[in-house]
Order: sequence, then structure tokens, then C-alpha cells
Amino acid sequence: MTQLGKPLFAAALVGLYLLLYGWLIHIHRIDPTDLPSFVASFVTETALLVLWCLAWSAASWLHARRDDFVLHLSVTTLGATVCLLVLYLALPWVFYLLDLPWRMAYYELARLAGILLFGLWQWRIVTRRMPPLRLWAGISLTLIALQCVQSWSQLNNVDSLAKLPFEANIVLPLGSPLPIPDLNQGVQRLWSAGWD
Amino acid sequence: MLVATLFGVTCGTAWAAELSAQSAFQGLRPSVVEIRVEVKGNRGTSTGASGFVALRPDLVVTNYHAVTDVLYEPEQHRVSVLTAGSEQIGARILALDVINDLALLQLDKPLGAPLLPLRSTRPARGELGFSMGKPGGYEVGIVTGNFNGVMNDDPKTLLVFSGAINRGMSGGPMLDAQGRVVGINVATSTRHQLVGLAVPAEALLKLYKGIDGGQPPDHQQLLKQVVSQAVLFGQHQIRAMEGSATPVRTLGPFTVRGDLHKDNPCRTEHSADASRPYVELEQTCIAGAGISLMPGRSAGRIHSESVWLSSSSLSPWQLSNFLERRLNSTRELPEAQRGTPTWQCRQQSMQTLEALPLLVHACRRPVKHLPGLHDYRLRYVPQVQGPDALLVSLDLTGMDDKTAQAALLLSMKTSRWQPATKASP
Repeated sequence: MTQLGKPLFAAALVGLYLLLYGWLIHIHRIDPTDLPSFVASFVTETALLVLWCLAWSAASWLHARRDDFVLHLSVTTLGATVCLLVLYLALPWVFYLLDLPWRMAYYELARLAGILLFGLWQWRIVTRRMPPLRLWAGISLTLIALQCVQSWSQLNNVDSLAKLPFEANIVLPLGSPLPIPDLNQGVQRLWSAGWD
Repeated sequence: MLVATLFGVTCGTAWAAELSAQSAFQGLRPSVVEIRVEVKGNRGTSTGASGFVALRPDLVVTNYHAVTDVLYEPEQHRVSVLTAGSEQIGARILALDVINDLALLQLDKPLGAPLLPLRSTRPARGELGFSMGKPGGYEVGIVTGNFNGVMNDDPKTLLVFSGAINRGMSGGPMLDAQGRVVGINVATSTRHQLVGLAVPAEALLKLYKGIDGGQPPDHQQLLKQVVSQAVLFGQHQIRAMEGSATPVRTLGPFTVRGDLHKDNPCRTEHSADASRPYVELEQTCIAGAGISLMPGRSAGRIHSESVWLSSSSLSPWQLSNFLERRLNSTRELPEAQRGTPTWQCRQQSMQTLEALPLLVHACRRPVKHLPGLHDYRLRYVPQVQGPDALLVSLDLTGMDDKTAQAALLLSMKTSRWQPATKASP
């Protein structure tokens, strides 16, 4: 990619990300009073992404006196866009089609896996080589285990017992699978499939 | 003859004359005891209530709720009675009636006090009566009042007594002017003055007749008794749902389950805020009161909410999002308590006879100590497109799977959708 192409590509990715994020805000906002909370969420998410880019740029600078900011920005924004498309749209939809609840714990685990993969890529940008595979796998497994423990503890937290564990995924009924054609059969299936 | 004897029909003439409160107290006091549930290891008393000896010299009558600690935590609690002569006698639970809130205790040795006779007829309205028991930290006392009919608390009936029944008097006898037991103190109204409630004596006799003459039940058998009575009560609630006068109600283009009980019409709340691009109508229906299993835990309670949302400007995504929010906003449980098992959830799409697709979320958690009973949080949403959306929630406490399925089916089978209707909330 040319020297001009890289910033253009990064800008296009940032634009796509902002557009997608804005669209998600638009389709989820119901009350006028929701706007401040969505704006706060937007600002927080964007600030986190910028900090992530700056941290990797600093790492590049310290390691090789290159900032690689545009590159890190491209990779980070690509990761965030994939996260929006996959974790906010595609996976809930797949779970919906499978008649399975899309739980917050699944989302957080999938997001962590994405962060680890894109982190690996950005490590490669900084050092121009892959990290020791065992080290990276060890760190990844540790973080994933911690995430699982945190989800488990949240689920079993005394205070959270007052709440139901599922995150409802009542999404668009368009294209939904054919439901069981009889209520009695449907209720039997609901109970017979076991409780998790 | 047995029944006649139990009900005091053949009692001597000493009971025939009307007693003053003073003479009644003197005559009846030896038969009234204090029920003590103590924490083992000399750690003090957890529950204090009243009771009385009737039917058999080694039997003491009290309330179910007075002995729940010893029922659910037998390793940590023991029950005994303190007689008028300050003698403490050990006891064990012989029989339970969760629905009527009654318990029969078998004493380690017979109590040397007269058996209180039971009366076979209900007291007339205005008839003079007494209530005895040990209110809180005070001595066992007697209260004078009048009977004022009954309160129907389906499926049970309670005697209404215009007299003060205080905490600690639960399980004590309620007597007519001749000193015959007409009921067992059970509750007092917190909203009205001097309105006491008592379980009629016939419920006690029914419980006594059901006692197996063999070995007293062990702990597990007692818990099974509680479970089977809770299941029976749940089935009663379902029959009450089926017998409601208004089984269906209309929410805009939707038809939903209506009243869950003939005496409890649904309440409706309309919410229309000009700053919001939608209006909603919320209907709440309750199927009578549940029965108390233990403090903070009930059985057979059915609570249903139907929320109709109508908006011409929200997109299908936004309608879906609204429903999800409502679903999440109703997740808080009033009865949450420490040590409660976590919820297990399932989801399933199914459709009604009219081919209306419903997305059903079902969550349940076991009731601690009582295998086979669960609490349920059931939700369903008709999967329809257009300006209207509906969310129906059904919360059930202390039921078995079969009864919960019946409640869900009764609710879902009334679901209809007529998109042609152009009404607004």
C-alpha cells in the first residue's frame, strides 16, 4: 500500500466503524432519554480504542523508533468493526435461529478471543515477528480462564441471584426458523431438552 | 361416636354455661402451652408460638409456620413445649397441613392437662369468644372478642375474630363462650384494627384423621408431605384459572389470558408519554394468594403481566429492543434470598392453533429443601411484524413441572393476533 493509501484506508475503516456504531445506536434507541447513555457509551468505546492504538504506537516507538500509528489504527478499527458485525449482529442472530439464548458471558468470551487475536497481530506489527507461541497461548488461556471464572462468579454472585441469567435475544422475527406447530409439543420440547 | 367425642358434643355440663374471661382462663390455661423452637447448642430460641393440647394427651396443636425452622433445619433446631407448670417437654412433628397452616406435635410424654374439646359448628356472627396464647414476651393471656363470619381465602376459609391476636399467639386456641375450640389462631390483619383470623376446627380434625397410626413420619416423609400439598395447591390454582369469569382479555390487536381467579380481576395501567414515540398498556393478573412454605418463600403463587406496545414510528429493531428491555426490567425477583439456587433457562419457538408463532423463554430454579418444587419465570412474545408488540410474563412459585406446564399452556392458548384492528392503547 502506498504512503497515501494507508491513511485513506485507515480513515475509511474509522468511517465504517463510526457509521456502523451510529447505526446500531439508531436502531436500538427508543426513548429520547436514551440518547445521553448511548453517547456516553459511544465516547467510552471510542476512547478505549484510541488508548489501545496509542499504547501499541508507543510500543512500536520504544521497540523500533517507529510509531506505526496509522497501521495500529487500521488494525484496531478493523477489529472493532468485526466485533460489531460478528458479536452484535451475526452471533446473536445465529443463536436466535438455533433457539438458544445469547448470554452476556458468551459475548464477553468471544470479545476476549477477538482482542487476543488482534493483539497478536499488533504484536507482530511492533516486533516484526511472532511472539513465542507457548507464551502467547499461556497468556491467552489464562485470560480466558479468568474471564470464565469472572462470568461464573457473576452468575453465582449472591446479589445477582435476584436476576435471571439470560440475555434475551428477541430480535427480528424475519427469517426465523419454523416454530413447533403445536403448543403442547412445544412445551414438551421445552422441558425435555434439559435445563442448563 | 369418635367424631362426637372429638367435637365435645358429649362434654359435661361444666362447658354448657357461658364462661367469663377470668373463669375461662383459669379452666383452660393448663391446656395451653408455649411452643419453643430452639437453636441446638444452647444458642437461644428462634421461634416462639402457642399451642394447645387436644384430641390426644400427647398431641399439641399449633401452626405450621411456628415449626418451619425445625422442619427445614432439623440439625440445628429442636421443638419443645413449655407447660403452664413451667415444665419443658420435647416434641416432634407428627403431621402438617401447609395450606391451612396447621401442625400436630407429638410430645415425648403425655401432658397431664384436660384435652380442649372441639366444636363442630361455625360460630355465629356476633357470638362472644376468646383467644388464648402467649403474645411476645408476655405471659400466656386471654383476649375477649366477637366472631364476625369468615374470610374466604380460596381454597381455605378463615374465621374472622374481632379481637387482638398478637405475634406469639399463633397456634393458640380460639374458643367459644363455652370453652370449646372453634379455631386455631393464625394471623392478624396489619391493615385493620382488631381483626384476627383463625383456622376453623374442622381443618384440625381432618388433619388428625389423616394421621397414619404407625410410626411417626421421619424428616424426609414430612418434606414429602409439604411437597405433595404444595403440588395439590398448585393444581387448585390451575383449576381456579380455568374457572375464572373472564378467561381472555383484549390488548389492542392481541387477545391474552385474562383473569387468573374469579375474585381477582386483572389491573390495567396505561402509559402514554408525549416525549416517547410509543404508548404501552400493561395488564397485571394474580391468581389468589400463594401458601407460605417458609419465611420469604411461597408456593402456588401465579403472577402474570402482559405488556402491549404500540408505535407507528419505531422500527422492528426498536420494537424488539423494547421488548428485550421490558424482559430484562422484569427480571428482578422480590423473593431473592441468600443461598437460593441459580436459574436454569431454555428457549423455544412454537405456534398456536391459529398459527401464531410464539418465542418462549422459560427459567426455573429449585426450591431449597423441597425436591420436585421449582420457581418459574416464563416469558413469551408473539413473533409478529407491524406497529404492535406484546410481551407476556408468567411468574410461578413453588410448583412442579406438570403444573407449571399447565399454567403456561393455559396462558398461551388464549393468544390471538388480529392485525386488522386499528385500536390504540
